[in-house]
Amino acid sequence: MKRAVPAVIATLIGLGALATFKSSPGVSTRSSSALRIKGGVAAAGPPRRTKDTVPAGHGTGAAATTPTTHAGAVRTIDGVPVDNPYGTVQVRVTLHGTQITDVTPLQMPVDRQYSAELSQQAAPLLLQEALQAQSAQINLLSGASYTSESYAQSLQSALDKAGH
Amino acid sequence: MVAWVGFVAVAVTVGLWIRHGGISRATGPGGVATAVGQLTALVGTFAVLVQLLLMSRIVWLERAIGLDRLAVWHRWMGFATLWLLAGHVAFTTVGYAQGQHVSLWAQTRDFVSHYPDLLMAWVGFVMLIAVGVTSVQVARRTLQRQTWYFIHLYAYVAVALTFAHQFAVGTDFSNDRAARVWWVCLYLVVFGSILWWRVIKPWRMNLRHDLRVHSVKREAPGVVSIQLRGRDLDRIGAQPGQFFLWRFITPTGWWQAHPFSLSAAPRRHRFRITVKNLGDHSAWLQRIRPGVRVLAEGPYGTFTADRRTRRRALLIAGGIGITPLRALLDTFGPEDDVVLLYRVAASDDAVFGDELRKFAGTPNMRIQVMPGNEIGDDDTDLLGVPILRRDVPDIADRDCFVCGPPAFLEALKRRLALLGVPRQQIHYERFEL
Repeated sequence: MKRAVPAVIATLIGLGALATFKSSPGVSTRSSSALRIKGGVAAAGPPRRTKDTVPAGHGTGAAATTPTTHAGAVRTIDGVPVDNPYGTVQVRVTLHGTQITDVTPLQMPVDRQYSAELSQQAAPLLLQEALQAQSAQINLLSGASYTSESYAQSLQSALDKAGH
Repeated sequence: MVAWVGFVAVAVTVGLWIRHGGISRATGPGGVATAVGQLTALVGTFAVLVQLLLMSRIVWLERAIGLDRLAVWHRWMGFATLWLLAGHVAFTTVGYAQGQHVSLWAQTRDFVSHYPDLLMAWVGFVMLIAVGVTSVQVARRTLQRQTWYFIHLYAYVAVALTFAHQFAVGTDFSNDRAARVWWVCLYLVVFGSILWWRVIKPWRMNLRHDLRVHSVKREAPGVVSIQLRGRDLDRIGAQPGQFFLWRFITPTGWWQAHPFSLSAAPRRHRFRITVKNLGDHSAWLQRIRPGVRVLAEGPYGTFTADRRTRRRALLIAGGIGITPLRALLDTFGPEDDVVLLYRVAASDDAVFGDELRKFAGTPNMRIQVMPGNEIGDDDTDLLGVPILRRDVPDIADRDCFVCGPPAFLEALKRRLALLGVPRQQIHYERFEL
């Protein structure tokens, strides 16, 4: 019984320390597994390449660069909402001709703090991936595989609608 | 009835997993492991809640199953629960690790640093492992009961710690309000029961009846009878043969509750229990002082006179098992035919000598004290089959009430069956919680 009091105190201190520990979503593009969209039509854009080689005639990944040639007008198409266990993802793609210039998330999982933080971290990284790939064949983000998958599927559906 | 409710609850819980895709979610590298990890999470946590419920002292559970059997189930369920939860941790870690092509250790670090409330969950899991490890027989033999019990209480802390991650990252709850509602309801039922039956009810009973130690009388070496006085004890509705869990409120005793049977019929202002020195707590009780407040939880037990099916009865007591049987003696009347066989290690160990002699003086009541330390086999023992057959020739026509230590009980149950006593006439109380 004598050891009970110090044990209880130690436990309370331990629990207090535990309560101050904060985790945060670790979303990154570390993953090397390329995504495969089931049943989707492969976009007409180039296959995924590393950042060093940039095929001629296409802009780099940065959204700010204006493509040198584009045929056709600017179009914005909304993809379908795609559900995953954490929520719904829906994206809107902006096409200059056949060039993807922007992808805007219309819906991202945000109903819990974890999802909100994760979506915030993931969205710009996914945009970067999409612009580099110029298709929905993007790499899964490490730490956000569900979100990446749903993002890609929604993007693919928008590209399909555009006949891209 | 209890079993049906249990089955339905398990079905609903597993149904959550199936509803969210079940095994069809098992796609991609690590998919199968992750899906299994999710199933073991649901079933394992359900098992934890059942574990808590088994010990919540709900009166209907007690009447249906009995505290002693509930304790046995709790023990076995405990190990199953730990396997399920270990499976959940292992499969989920393996599944995610395979999916992201990292090592198990890297994945664990990923879980703890990037996912909310997972460090807490790990700490809770380790606590549950500690609870399990200290409850293994080898550990129980080496640990003091107090130490074991103290560690065991950390199970409550573990349940609290692991709850947050279930909703924060559990994919069965993230997008399914109905699932969350179901889960919270399960927790509420369990913790509500614990709060009511283990905390509020005993407190209310104490406020109303104000039980205190009145006197302590030495019955035999190492055996004392403790008289408890209080108000309106008849309103509690205790029957002879039943027991309570008693909590003696002193600085060292307040946090333990131990079972003792009433050793005499309860009266309006008096309960009596008789305690033999068999361990730390019962040794301490030998010297309990008058005036100490007592919290009683109960009454429990189905070892009561209303179980009788006929006029004749045979009571068989092994050692301190005499206590509820002595209380039962108070319920018999002149029209009943009672034989009491009281087995003790040595004749000095027999208690209630004067009281038993008085009972033996009444007609139709025969009492035999049988001293003998060795428990022989069914043929040679003092209470073996041949002797029982000779001393109680109409044994198959009697209600048999048996109480004593586990080995004694098992032996007597077997012999009564051999002598042709029908099962519904055999009533027993296991003296071991």
